[in-house]
Amino acid sequence: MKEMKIIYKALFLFILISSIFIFSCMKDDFRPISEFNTNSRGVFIVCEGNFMYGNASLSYYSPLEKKIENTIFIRANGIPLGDVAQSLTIHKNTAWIVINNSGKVYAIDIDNFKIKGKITGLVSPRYMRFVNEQKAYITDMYAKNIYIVNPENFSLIKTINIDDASGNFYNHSSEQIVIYEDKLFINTWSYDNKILVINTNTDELIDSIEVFKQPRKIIADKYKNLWVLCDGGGENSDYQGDAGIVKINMQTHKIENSFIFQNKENITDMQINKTGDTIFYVNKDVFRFHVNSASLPEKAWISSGNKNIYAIAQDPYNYDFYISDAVDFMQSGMIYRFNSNLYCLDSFAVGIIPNSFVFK
Amino acid sequence: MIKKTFNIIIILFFGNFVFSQEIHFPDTIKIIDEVFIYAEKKLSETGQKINKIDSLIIETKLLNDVSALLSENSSIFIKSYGRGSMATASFKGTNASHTKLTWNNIELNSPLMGIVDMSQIPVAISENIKLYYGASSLIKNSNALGGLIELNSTTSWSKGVKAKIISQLASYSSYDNFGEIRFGNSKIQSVTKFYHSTSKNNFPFLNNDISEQQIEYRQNADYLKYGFVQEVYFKPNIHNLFSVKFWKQLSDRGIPGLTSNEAGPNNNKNRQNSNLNIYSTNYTHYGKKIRFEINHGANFQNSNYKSTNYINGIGFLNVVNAFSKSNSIFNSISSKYNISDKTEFNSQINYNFHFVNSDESILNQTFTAKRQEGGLNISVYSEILKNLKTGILLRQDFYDKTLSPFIPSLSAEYFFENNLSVRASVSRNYNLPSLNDLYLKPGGNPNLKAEIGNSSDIGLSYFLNIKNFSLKSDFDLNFSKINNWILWRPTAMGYWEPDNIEVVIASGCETNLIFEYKLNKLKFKNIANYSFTKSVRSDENENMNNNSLGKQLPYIPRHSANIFSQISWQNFFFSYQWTYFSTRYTSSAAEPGVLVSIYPYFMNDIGFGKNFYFKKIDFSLNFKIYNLFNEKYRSVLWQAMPGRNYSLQLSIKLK
Repeated sequence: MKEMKIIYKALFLFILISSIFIFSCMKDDFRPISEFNTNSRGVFIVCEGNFMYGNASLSYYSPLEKKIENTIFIRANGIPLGDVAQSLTIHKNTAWIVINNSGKVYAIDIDNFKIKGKITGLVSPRYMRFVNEQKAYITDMYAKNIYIVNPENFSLIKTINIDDASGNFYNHSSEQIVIYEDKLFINTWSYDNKILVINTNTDELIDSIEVFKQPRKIIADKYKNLWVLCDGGGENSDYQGDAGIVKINMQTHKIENSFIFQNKENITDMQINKTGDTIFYVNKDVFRFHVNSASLPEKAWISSGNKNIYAIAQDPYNYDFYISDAVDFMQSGMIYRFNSNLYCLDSFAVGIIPNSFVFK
Repeated sequence: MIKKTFNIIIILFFGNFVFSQEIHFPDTIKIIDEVFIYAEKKLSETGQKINKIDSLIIETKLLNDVSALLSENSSIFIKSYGRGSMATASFKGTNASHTKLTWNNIELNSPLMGIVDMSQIPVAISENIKLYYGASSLIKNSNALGGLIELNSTTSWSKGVKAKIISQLASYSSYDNFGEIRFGNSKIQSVTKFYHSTSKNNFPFLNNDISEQQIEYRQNADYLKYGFVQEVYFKPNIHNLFSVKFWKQLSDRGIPGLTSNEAGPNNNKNRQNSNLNIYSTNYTHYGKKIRFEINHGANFQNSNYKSTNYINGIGFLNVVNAFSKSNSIFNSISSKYNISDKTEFNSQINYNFHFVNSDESILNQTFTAKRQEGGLNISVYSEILKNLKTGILLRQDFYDKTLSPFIPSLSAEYFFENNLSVRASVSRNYNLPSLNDLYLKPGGNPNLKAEIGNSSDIGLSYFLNIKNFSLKSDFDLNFSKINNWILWRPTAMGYWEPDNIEVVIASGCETNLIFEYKLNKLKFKNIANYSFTKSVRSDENENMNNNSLGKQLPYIPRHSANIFSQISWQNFFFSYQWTYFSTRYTSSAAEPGVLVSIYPYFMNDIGFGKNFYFKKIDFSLNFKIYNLFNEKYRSVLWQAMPGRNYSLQLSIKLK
């Protein structure tokens, strides 16, 4: 009998404890809305997040106040940005955020970050560039087309076919866009080695220029040259080769110079200063050179140490220099802001994999 | 009073679910009268935590996959992407590649991927499911740093024909069917099983992850899985047993996108189909003092993964078209020699061969690889003093031309007079990188080292077995230090790449409790599991911005628990299933926020039904309600899950 009493007590206690847990309900994501009004100048930091994790985010930094606001998109709109935020383009008072693996582009107000509209139904969009109020181009990694959209009504106007019909490596993909006169220069990063040239009047592909493997970033200098940063493909990939920088004359489409990196490690970004005469690029460390240099610099301008430098930018207003550390690519990234003497003015954490800075 | 309190504490907090006890139930859902039987723990299981899934649970979940069975009825954590989608299992804070799954001694982990998709393994293919936690897996296999899940088939030797058919109709056009025929005599037996499972899985959900929040129907989440198992057992005499088992399965499923995806219904369409062929042969000799066993078998797996988009001007085009093939052959010879009533000696030699081929035809990324592996395993278990049993296991493996780390394991268990036992074990184990870890293009890292784990466990076990009541409980404390932990991380090149991180420490406790009792015509059965798991990176940080040091690893919950209760009255029965996981973080630094963490998970399911017994045939009707409170929830970030849904199951058994 004694044992039975113990058992019943145990049973009673068990049911009591169990009842605390049973019936507990889940709280689906609670997303309070915040109101923003950032009418002073600042910089958007695009944090692409991890592929298939849906953790892309947008941060906004006010250099005057030294204030960082993270995850501004979900805080302003109550919905997530999506999966892999590839780029952001500001046109007038609207920021257009291209969400690569969500097949869409969000348009938000640059001051309060509220959604103004969106373009959907895209395959794998990458970058967006405006020609005028009614015409913008959107590149895409897998669509084998470049989209022409009307930003005023968020509609697709037509597409430009860039399929090379070779069947090799799913070419062409399309990435960044540089506009020169009536031409678009577009790099093809994924398993490709071309710069595509498109006539903006006819919207037809008129030329393709072969460069090193995987042209990752392009910029234009003040002398009408296109600079192409090629990462050379991954080390453990069958598609790999030399990495380096290629200089192309945008008028003749001829390669004027090419520089091969002796070491390739973490080749992620290339930017140019406001006056178009100094180029910055990342090959583990940050390097800087004048566009008229005959060779690439041997010594790093900013040493990365143990950081994974992923994006760089120079503030066009005060020439402050920003770099992002993607850390291990699976946690909040870190931003460093330097003045022109490389004195660190500020540092702060942002979202996962900060890939670009866009100044307002 | 102190003794009473002590007993209550033991019962409540040192609980153990099933484990080495065997509670014998008939094949139908029916609790036997009054008598509850616990089998004595095998000598070779001395000091180890080994759980056997209750046969009642297996019977009620025959149409489920192993992931659903384990997430609701064990302390193993299942990371599931939803109904019919990928599901992986991890023991004690380790990861999915540290969990090995075998079916009749054939390893189901793909040598290519290193993991098993538990959603693809039907419960119906086996009658016995055993869970070997941590070091206890060394009895069976190396490489299982977390633990091993063993699925085995059995047969009875009764004369005549027996058959069973189970059909289920469920929400979202889901149909599941299972059939089994057993026939033979005392010398030869044949067991044939067929199963078929299909669902449109197009459940409605409120999509509040896009700007126009709306009710949507889940797209591209359909699945189809079917297969059969054929087993033949031959027992010429009581000393010799031969068996041959064959299992074939075909499956095809959509892989749904994230809820934030707005590429349209024709884009980002991902599908996977796979083909599995496994055979297992066994010869066992039962001598007076020796048991001798030879096993041979093979596992052939093929799968194809496609990602398709609609391309303007071209039509539907694959952006990924990846074929993978893995062929594995397994051989082992083992023996058990009873030196005396209190001492046994075990030995095992095994040799396995793997061949894999991975071919992605769009980006022309291909590799083939081979691996040979084998080893020698000897162990001695003995009751060296009254009620004190000890064991030592030594294992030396090799792969290709390399010697693996030497593996020792020591264990001991003391049995007190009052049904309480105390156990402890220390061991070493290792896990080889999978062939994808080493050679996948792009991303594979041929410089990866084997993961090496040192672990220790202590536990208490208690049981009580009286007329109308039985109880078994267990409490376990565990600690593992794993060097060279393999972690896949994104790179600047856009793809993911594995690397060894220096040290991960996984520690925690688990408590389990099962009790059954009878009050007049009412019968109760309750099973509860709780585990606390701390699994953190503890190596040196090179980057001062890296906050992952000391943080819980992604997707491993600190707390998890589940309770299964069943009440039966005459031939009616009612069951309740409750499952819980605490917050799971998805970033390496375990950061909070809706973008990088998932709130605690609570799930309530109920079922009720009735058994009908006739002279030559039994019926059972079972109606289940899943997600009882119709909760909107996630199990993985940005993957929709179904609201309240239902199933109606009819079982027919020919005696």
